[in-house]
Amino acid sequence: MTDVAEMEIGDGCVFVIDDDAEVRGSLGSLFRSAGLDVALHENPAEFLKAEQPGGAACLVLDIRLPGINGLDFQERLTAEGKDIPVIFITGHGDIPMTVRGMRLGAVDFLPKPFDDDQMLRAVATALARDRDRQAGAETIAAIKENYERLTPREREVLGLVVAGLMNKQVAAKLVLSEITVKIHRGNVMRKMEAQSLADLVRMAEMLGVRDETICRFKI
Amino acid sequence: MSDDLRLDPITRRGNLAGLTQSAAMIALTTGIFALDVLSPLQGAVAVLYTSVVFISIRAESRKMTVAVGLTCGLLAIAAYWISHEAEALSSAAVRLAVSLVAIAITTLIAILHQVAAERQRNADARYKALFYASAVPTWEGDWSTAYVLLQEGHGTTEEFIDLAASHAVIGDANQAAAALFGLRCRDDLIGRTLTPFHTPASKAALGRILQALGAGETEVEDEARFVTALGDHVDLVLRLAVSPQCREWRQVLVMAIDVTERNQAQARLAQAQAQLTHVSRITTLGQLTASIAHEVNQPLSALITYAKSGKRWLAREAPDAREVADCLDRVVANGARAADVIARIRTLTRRADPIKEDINLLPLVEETVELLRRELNSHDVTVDLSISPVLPKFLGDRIQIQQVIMNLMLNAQQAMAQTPSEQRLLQVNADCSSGGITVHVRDNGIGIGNESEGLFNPFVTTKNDGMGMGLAICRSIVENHGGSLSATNHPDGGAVFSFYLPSAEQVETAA
Repeated sequence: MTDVAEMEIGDGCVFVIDDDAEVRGSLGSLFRSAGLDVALHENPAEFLKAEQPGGAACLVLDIRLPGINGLDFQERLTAEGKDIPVIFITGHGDIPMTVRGMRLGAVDFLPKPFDDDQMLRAVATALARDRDRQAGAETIAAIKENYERLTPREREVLGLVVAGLMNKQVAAKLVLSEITVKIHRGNVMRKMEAQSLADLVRMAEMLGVRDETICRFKI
Repeated sequence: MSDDLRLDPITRRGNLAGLTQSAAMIALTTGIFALDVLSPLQGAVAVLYTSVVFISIRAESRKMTVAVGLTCGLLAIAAYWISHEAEALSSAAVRLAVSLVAIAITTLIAILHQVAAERQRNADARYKALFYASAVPTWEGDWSTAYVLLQEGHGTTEEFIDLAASHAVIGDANQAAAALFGLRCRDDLIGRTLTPFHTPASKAALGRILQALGAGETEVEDEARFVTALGDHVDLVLRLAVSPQCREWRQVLVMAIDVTERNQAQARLAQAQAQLTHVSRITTLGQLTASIAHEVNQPLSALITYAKSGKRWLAREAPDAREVADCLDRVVANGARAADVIARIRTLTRRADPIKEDINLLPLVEETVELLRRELNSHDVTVDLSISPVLPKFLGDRIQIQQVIMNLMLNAQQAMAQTPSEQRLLQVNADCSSGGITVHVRDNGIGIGNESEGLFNPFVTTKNDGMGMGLAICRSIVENHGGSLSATNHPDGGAVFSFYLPSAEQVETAA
């Protein structure tokens, strides 16, 4: 069981915020024993000051912190676009808080004293989620890069094509010949590295460049 | 005349003596008369009648004495008449006159003496009546052995006290005294000593009494516990009187007042108070259950995680001994921390009779703050302590004083519920004043109403779930320590609860 958890976890950094030095220290030891990097913080302010490393990371957060509620802090992080997966730990595991935490996307909610396997599994899940998130971010970045290489005219064509217009309609819309539209469309497919129209539509969705007005006009 | 009945044996003996006496008197009178008539002394013999009058004193009857005097006078005159029938005034007549005056004076003296003796008898009878009829257990003891021993220079050692007690024979006692010691009849007490009824406490009291009497005091009072013939304990206040006439403590009068019931009532009251105080303490702790649970859970959680972590370090391909050792150290430290919390709580829940000891304020307040830290933190209350570590110590029960401090701090925290969280400040400071220390617990909450004294009445509460006993009990605790507790509003807002406790030094001086 232990070995499996260790194998599943992989690399990553676990941030721990808890005002109790002993609880912090014990989690640090546990995570280090599983081969993870650890950064321990007494309060959210310290955590925010600290440098965020690259690679997968997750946050183990005490729900009751002096001066601030852990849930409020998680909300703040989300609002600021810091999408780090959060695992809540608490000495008072009351249901309403759990519900709110889960709704805000907490990975897990572990009451103290916690089971080490459960804790490590939660961290593994959190890190995997962070890796996915980062991988997703990388894909979007690549697509965006491709999109940047399109000419203004090609972008116009892309917008109309993914909106479902036929080449003929695109040509009419842009006052171009149908042949020219076909050439532009071919360039778009090549530059965007799209395997099919469906692929292109998915990328456009991710970039949010579908021409909504046309779509509505069509209907 | 029941007193006469009581004096029966003496009276009966008196009657017998009286008869002999009367016979002697008649014989004497007859003899003197014969001598007077027959002798040639011519009236000088009549002076001898005074001896008859003197003997009549013993009859303890004025009438009798008067009668004897008159009879003697008449007999003297009769003898003169017989001897000197026709003679005119002669030297014999002068001698008769002198004899008559002598008889008259003797009779008067005899009567005066009888009056005085009767007064003395009445006083004695009244004393005895009082002594026997009194509901106050009273007895007379012969303490002459103790007197002699003390005069010989014996100190009041245990040995001496035992010896003195075993020789202090009771000369007389009333029925109440017998009943007090569980005896049926006062004769069971007379002629014996109190040795079977003594306890270590009563022996100690006896030692103090002997010391006081030895120092020349004539009236001594002390309290001690005795054990009765039935095996019950009786608490007695003993009052001893040594009258100036009674030499060498041959007749020490002892009066005892049974204060067993009073003491029992007092003990019951004290016990009820201690129980109430205890209950209140438990109630207060009840309010802290959540934070105390957290306080214990925190180290337990760390301990378990360190232990599991240690196992993981061992299970690694290259076990890390240093990490394992560190984990074990932390396991021990956290175990101790949890135990500390439990110990603090257990001390507070201890149900014991109050113990008076010298207490330093600062550590006590610090410990209380430690106990309440989680509770205060969770309500965003900042604590500011400014207590000098060199304050004089005070005499009191640690737990009860901690209870007072804890109650006042929790009240302060609750009073600040409406205060913006960043302004919630709880200040505890102390100063030396009028031979003691005064502790102030200040909050910046809603303050108290105008009727600050009403706060200390039982069942007065401003809280929905409060019993209204907290402050009432705090005040009774402080007052039992010889101090006072009061509340005022601070001019800058919030309330200040102050309590004064006399310093240990002052308490000792007073005692």
